[in-house]
Amino acid sequence: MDINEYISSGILEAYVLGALTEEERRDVEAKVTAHPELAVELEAIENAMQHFVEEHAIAPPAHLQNQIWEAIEAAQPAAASTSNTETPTEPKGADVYTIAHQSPRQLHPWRWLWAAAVIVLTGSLLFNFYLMNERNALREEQVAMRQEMDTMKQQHEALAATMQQYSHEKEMMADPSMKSVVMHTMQEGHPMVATVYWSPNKGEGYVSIQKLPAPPTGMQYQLWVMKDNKPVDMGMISNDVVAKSGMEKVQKPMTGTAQAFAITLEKAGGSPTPSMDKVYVMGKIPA
Amino acid sequence: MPPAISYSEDELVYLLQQRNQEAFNYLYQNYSAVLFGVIARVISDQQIAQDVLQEVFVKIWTHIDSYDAGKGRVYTWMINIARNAAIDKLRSKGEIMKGKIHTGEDHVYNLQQSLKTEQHTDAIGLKKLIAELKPEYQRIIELSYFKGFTLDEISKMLEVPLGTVKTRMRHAIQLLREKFSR
Repeated sequence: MDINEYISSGILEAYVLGALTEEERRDVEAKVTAHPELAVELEAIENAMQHFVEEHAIAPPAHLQNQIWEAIEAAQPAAASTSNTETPTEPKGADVYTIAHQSPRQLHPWRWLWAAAVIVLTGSLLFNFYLMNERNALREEQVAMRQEMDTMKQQHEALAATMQQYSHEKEMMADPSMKSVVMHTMQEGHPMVATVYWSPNKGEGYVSIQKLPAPPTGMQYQLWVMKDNKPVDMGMISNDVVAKSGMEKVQKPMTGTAQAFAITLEKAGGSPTPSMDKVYVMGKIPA
Repeated sequence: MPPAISYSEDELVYLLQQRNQEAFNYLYQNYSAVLFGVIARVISDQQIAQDVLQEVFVKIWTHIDSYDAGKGRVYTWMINIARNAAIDKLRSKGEIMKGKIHTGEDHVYNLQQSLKTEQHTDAIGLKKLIAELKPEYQRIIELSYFKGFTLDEISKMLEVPLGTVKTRMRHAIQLLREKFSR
């Protein structure tokens, strides 16, 4: 393996940036272990990213420090309880002392007191852990719910937007002066269909795509109207609408009388005049 | 705000293994801002970012024994825990969008989101550096390091060959290295 070539390929950077698959990662790790030069390079890259994130440090809110420590304590009951059991071991020495000076099997009242204290302390500790866990569970639930709410809100907004569009379209369709012009394919052997709904008085219209191939990259469909035998630009049709076989408002309204609608394939953003060999569909407007 | 590192790497690991509050306070005071900075860059929601920071500290605390010094520094290890936890959260949040993943729309959305994050951090004056990087370099660091996309996904998203993605990564980090060695 050519070490320099390997280094200049950028694979180590991709590793540090976390852009490799599990398999690729393992491969890089094996190579780094085998070649110390790679380890040096890797460290330099990690250093750069470390400096980079340090430049973007943001102090979290002050109250978090305590909250997080509580969460850590709750997450490691073993360590926390060892530090607490030290307290009850203290009286041991005292016990040995008292027992030696007492008749056997008779408990000194102090010992009872200690026992009670230990029981109360242990009970309280256990209860605290219980509360802590409960609290963490609730917090997680809260986060999950907040996320669910976010999603629902987004869905709701999308739905409301669709509804608004539908009601507007319904209004347009109910307009008695509205004409519907079905445009059929002009390219033999390629069945394509689109429809224009157009109100000659208002000039507003909708173009609905039934069947049109997705335009190649950098290209877009453009709607034209033949007026006095001259093509007039009525605006672009978004590629999204084509892909979904959807409907959208005509970009440039046009009032008056006209003879036909047509759609041509043009460069994205449109052309001043239609490419005559790229007329995909056309439909005559009934008088 | 670089942390005032007065402990060596080994001392830091030892400190973490003590698992006491003092060690935690030290760790928190010196590293929480860096870790939070990483998380906040992945997740724009402040509250969720704070929750993730908590998860990250708990994870560092409970997993310090599985840290392998042979695989790099403990500092890098902690940063990666923060990054991965944040990206995991981002993904689980976007779970519902799964069906849309890999459509052009989704990628545009992701790009817009990452641009938004940049504007956000810019607004609070925390980064000048990335502004010095060309947009194509910014985007590549953003998509990989902060959004968790693989080489293959980035190559498809930006419509450039895989090799180009890697060389751009190399150039971007090379610029960072130059800048920090100044």
